[in-house]
Amino acid sequence: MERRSRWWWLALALIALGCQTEAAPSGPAASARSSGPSSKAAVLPEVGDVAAGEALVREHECHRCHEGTGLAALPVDKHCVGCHQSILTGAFEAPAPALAEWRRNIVHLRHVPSLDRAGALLRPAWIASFLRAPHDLRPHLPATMPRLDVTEAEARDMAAYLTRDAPRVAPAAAEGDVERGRALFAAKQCGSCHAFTGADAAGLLAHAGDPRALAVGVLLAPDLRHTRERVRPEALAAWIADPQALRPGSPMPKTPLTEEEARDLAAFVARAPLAEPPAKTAPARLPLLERPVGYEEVSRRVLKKVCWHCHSQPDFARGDGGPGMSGGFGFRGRQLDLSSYEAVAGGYLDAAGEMASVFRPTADGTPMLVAVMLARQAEEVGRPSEVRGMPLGLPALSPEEIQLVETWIAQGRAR
Amino acid sequence: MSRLSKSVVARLGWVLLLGGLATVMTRDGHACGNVTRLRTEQRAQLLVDAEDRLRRGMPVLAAWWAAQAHGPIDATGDDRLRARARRLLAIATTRADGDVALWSVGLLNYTPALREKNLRWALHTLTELAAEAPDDAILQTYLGEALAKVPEHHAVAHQKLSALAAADRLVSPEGYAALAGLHAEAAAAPSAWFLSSRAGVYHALAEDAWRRCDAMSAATCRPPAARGGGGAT
Repeated sequence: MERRSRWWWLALALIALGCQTEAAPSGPAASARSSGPSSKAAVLPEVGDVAAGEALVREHECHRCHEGTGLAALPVDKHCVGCHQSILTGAFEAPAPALAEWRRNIVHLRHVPSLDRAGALLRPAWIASFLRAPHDLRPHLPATMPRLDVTEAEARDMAAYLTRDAPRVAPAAAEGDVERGRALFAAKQCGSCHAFTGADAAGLLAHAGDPRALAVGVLLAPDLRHTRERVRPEALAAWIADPQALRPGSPMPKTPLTEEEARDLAAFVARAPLAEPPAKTAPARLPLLERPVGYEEVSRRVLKKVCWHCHSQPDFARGDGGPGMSGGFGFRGRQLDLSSYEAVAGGYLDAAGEMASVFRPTADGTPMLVAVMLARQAEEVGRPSEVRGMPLGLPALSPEEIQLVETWIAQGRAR
Repeated sequence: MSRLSKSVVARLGWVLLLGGLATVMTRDGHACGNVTRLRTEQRAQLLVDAEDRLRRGMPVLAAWWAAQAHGPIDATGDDRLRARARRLLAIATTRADGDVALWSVGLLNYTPALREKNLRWALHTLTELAAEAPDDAILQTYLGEALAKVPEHHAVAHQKLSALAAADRLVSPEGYAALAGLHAEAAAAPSAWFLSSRAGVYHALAEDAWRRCDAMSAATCRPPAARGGGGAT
């Protein structure tokens, strides 16, 4: 505590002296930033405690999905992506028909970005804010980043650890030209992988359809709209010129560019005016169905399609029943098993440490099981609440799926 | 053919029939570490199928399949699947009123003494398992059902099942049916342990429990004799 306290005082002193670790934007870049989505990125001091951050990264199990955390790899039954990858490559020990079937079903957590040398490119302040309020960053990749239960200070410490070995990049010698960058963006076909929401850019290619058919580079390509919050300004041109030099193994290819062209592209990405994106609204809650709904349908379409991956029980598992049962990602075990009718009715460990029914009504009368599903829809449109949305990190359930669960509960939860 | 031979033939027939069913059954195929054992361990598959049969009101079949996953009834050891099989075997025995083949005897030669022995084993087993997992609503419900089968344990069963129902954690329609019967019993014939009860309240509670049972089973739970007034099961 004392150590953290000292860092706070140091940070406050630096801010007071106008000596932030990152130069304040000015000129066109500043005005462009104000027109972008920066309002949702919390402005946090960029000083964190690396040692505390390492402990927090371990506690919140970033290495359960991400490579490059600097922590020892988790066993395959604890490593979401590793397990999926081993199934996809055929290395997983299971009968061939089962492997073939599972390969068809795996949509999420096939690929996640590596955190190796994240600090070479990413701003700690952005990482800290993203940990607390993740949003859809990679339009072609199904969302899988959970909203962690961390304070601002903890997020800052984690960001400090994740950016601990950031190589210093010398700022580009001169500012690039936005219009030349715009032309280069089209000529170099950057839009074949990257979206750039709100920018007037030619050659943007929307990748619709099954994400399993897309190349890794396309899946992991972020929407460049977020670059001005995410990326260290001084590193952007160097990154565009030679991504592998900053982060070896990155799926971002090296494109033949002169230094000047790299600066122009960086200028375009960082300073092109951005139109406000359309406001997102949570889908409307559908009325209860009039037809009878039984557990088999609820299980098939919702619980065993999504929920039980994290909320199972260890009897039938290679692992521990999942983070929703035994704890994970920094959350304590909720002992919630959604793998059978009886188990769903058996309840979960609530915030007060008491076993409670998942059907108990919340303040507005909505059953808890439905409330968390609605909360996830709200999170997706930037309205997180005290209730943590479920499925954690994954795309929200559809209104029809929630309607099914709600109807089943309202009808008395027929087996 | 001797009685023993008939028994062996009958069991062999069941093995062939159920084995064939197991071969052709399809399963959902969600990929995750949480489900891999279902596809890689036959015992896990047997248990899932046994639980499915139990839910569908076939406790004798459920017990038979669970017994295959469990192995000899006196088998011990730290084995999660065996513990689950044991739990399943015990509740299936309870719901089948003891008409299951727990020991080395034929399938159809039950006697009252054997049924009683089976039910005693089931109650003892569930009592042991539930003591190890006081927060496990499934085990507590199963134990409540088993206690409700034995008149001298009705008070404990009533208390246990009532508490689970009050927390909305009574996990099965069978549990609600047992609770309804206990409420009705309390309403109809207050005994020493129900001296402070009020018949009207218990009648209402019995009705509620029957309604929950009906809703959960999507059927009419109340036995014909009890329809029209919250009678005991």
